[in-house]
Amino acid sequence: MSEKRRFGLAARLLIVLFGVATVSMAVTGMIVFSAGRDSLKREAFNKLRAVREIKRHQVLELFVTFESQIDVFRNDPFIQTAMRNAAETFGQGHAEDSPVWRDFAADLDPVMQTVVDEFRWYDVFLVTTAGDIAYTLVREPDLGMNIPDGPLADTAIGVAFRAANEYTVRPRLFGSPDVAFGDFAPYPPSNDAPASFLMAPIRDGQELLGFFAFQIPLDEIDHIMQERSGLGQTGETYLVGPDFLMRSDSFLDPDHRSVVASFYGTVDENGADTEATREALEGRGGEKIIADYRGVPVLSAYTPLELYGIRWALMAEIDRDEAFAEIEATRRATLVGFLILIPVLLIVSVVFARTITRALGGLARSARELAGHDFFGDEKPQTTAHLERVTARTDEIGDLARSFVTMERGLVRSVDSLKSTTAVKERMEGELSIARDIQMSMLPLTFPAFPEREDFSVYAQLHPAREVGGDFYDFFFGDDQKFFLCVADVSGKGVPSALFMAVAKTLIKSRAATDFSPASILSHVNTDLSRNNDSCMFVTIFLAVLDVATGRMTYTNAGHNPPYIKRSDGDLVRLDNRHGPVIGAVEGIAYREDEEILDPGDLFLMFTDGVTEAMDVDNALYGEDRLKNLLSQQDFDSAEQMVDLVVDDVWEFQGEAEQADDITVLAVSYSGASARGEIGHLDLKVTNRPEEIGRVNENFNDFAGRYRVPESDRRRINLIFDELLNNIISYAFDDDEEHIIDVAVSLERDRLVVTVADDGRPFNPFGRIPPETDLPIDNREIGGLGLHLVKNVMDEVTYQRLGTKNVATLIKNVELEKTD
Amino acid sequence: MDFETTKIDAVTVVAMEGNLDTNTSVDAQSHNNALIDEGATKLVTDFTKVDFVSSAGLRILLATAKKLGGIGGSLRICGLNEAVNEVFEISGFSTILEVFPSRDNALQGF
Repeated sequence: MSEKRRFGLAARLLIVLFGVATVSMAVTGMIVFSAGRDSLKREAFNKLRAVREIKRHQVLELFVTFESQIDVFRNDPFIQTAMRNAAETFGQGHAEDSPVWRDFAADLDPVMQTVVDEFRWYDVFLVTTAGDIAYTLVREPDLGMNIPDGPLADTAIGVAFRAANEYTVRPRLFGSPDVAFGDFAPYPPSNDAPASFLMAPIRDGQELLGFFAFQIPLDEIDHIMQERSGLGQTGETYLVGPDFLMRSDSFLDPDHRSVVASFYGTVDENGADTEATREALEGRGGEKIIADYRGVPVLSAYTPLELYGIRWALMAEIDRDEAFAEIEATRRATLVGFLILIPVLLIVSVVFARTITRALGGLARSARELAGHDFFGDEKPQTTAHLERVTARTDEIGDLARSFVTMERGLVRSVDSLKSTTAVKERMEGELSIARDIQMSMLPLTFPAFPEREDFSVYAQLHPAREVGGDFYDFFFGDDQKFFLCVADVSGKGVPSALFMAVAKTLIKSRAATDFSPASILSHVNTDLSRNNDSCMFVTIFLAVLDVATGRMTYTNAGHNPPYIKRSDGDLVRLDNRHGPVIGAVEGIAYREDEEILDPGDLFLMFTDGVTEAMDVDNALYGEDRLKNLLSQQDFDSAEQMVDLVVDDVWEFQGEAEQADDITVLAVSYSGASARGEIGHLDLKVTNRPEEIGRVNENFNDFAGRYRVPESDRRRINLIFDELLNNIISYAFDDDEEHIIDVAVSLERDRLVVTVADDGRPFNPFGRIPPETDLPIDNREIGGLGLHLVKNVMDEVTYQRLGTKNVATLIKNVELEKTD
Repeated sequence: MDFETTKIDAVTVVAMEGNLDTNTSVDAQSHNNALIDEGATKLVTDFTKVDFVSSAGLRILLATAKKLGGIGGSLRICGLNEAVNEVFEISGFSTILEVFPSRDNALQGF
């Protein structure tokens, strides 16, 4: 089945359908995926950024809160008094462990505790203007230490003290004018744990009483930074200081990346030196996907956080995988969908493709079967039986199938009708072809017909119409001088006419062997033809007998077109005489005849009505007048030329029209006996006895001597007489009767023409030796040799069977000896 | 047909006069045969006075030549006129039979 063809329609359809579906799915998927990811990314960053901003705001707010706490604190008169006392006490040299101090502290502690609890400070310091830590709530080693002078100088509190002092002289321009900040740094009194301080002067009016500081509660910072709403599972916010160490405790890595851990450890292990933190610490905020301190790809929204001239980095980060988790889910879902869809698509494509191709394949098969069907057999084609389902389709394939079925029916009908028509036509053609064969086989068709004859020439053309119309012509010698000419037109068409023509022709020729009167011949022929003529066919005939020696022509016209004579002086004569009705119609008619003389140089033309009744495309007739004009105005060199010109003129007239009837034209040109200027002539009649040969030669030798024929030529003629006459005498006659042999010698200016005629059985001395000969081998050989000599000694030899006679004509070119 | 027979040494010369045609060739053959029977082995036929030779004549010449050949002799022919020579050429007899231009040629070395 053709559906299995390697790259047939099914496969192609399949490939296209499936390919298109898959490709479009893939492209769509990719686009969606990519767009989704971008959108998700944007959204994730948006969220992150929002969180970052919130946190930033919150941290700044925290410090604002601290500042307002500071203000509240230092403007409280109690605190001012406490400061005074602290300064005084300490200035009087009462150290922190003295009872004076203790009393002083005891009064202060509860208040400070309240403050610390309220404000959630880690500790509160009262610092003298000299930098002595005069009071702390939490009794740690730092109590009593002098800040600028001692190990505390480089700590956060040291930084804060210096800055605070500075601000008393030169207040800050931005933010709070005199609050000082000490960024996280190891704090020896707390075992080098990182501590960060805020310090502010306590004044009473203009009087600087001292400073107070408190340790910034990391918790508060953490409280802000570790609040994780909007950060999913892996998101966090954290702060990083300019040293890349933590300023808030990491949520994701609480062990290693807490503030404490990072101050005890290294940046690499415990800090956050990332692309994002670098940028933020350089003062640039932004959003990027970077590798965080764990090396994990994260979405990072970062921003610098300026605090009292110190720049921290505030980082909001979330794992990329989590941010894009949705996308991943989508991607996976898409992929799964894809994987499910592909086989489904495949199946659908296959099914669809197969439906089409099965329909088309069925149709193709039908077409093939139809194409291969033998319409000339008897079976009807059975190609549409399996197309039922296809023809029911409503689409173009259905149309095609239905058309196909209709076409097939139409075709069968046409072929049937054609078959019957063809059969009829073939029969007809067959008949016509037979008719034509009969017609042409009976015509003398070899031209020139008598090439050796100088006294006349004959030429004819016959062009049968498609339906053979039964024309014929004939010419032959009745005896050696009587030349018969005949043109005829049988009524009707086809085989019957052709047969009738054959019969008529044969009857004429057989009578002409003995009867040289055309009237007589036609009378007899008419009787014969009319006798058994059931079909009432008839034939028009023009029959003439020309005596080639004298030019006298006897003729009978039986219902035929009158012929023309074109005289040598150019006159045109029409032989109008009619001598009886058509032949074959009525028995017993006595036809008459007339005589006409042909002079040398005359032409005689016979034809049938196919010429005068030839039609052109407008159905106009060629007509007698046109022929007459052509014949009278034209000069003709030969019979052949005359016939050619007449026929060509008819063709020209006929043009594109179909030939209606047979066209026959026959012409004779008559030159007469003395065309070549005979100088001398010798006629002898001899009997068929060997002795006669000598007599012939004697006569000839006299003749030759008289006309000074060269000796060698004379001898040659002697030889041929000897051979030929011997041959004739020995073999031409079956009986023992006496026969006359006619010998004629014609001497022309430059040649000798010898004619030997006998009435023996047909024998061509110059042709093959007749197979039915019963000559003994020896004789036959010699006969052959002799004739061979004759042939080669003479310049031209011809043989004709004219009537009942064998006529041998031999020519020798001679150069006559000059007379003295 | 007339015959003039001469003997020159071992050669018999026959001069023919007239035509060697159908009629006369019979006589010629008889004449030649008689000569051969009388013992002639070397024969020269002189055609100087012969007008023409027909196929019948050729036949008897051939027969004579064969007959002589059979007894270890041979036939020579001479004196052919143009017409006769032509016949010999056409028939191919000029290659079959020994033809000489004149009697003297024929006799030479025979």
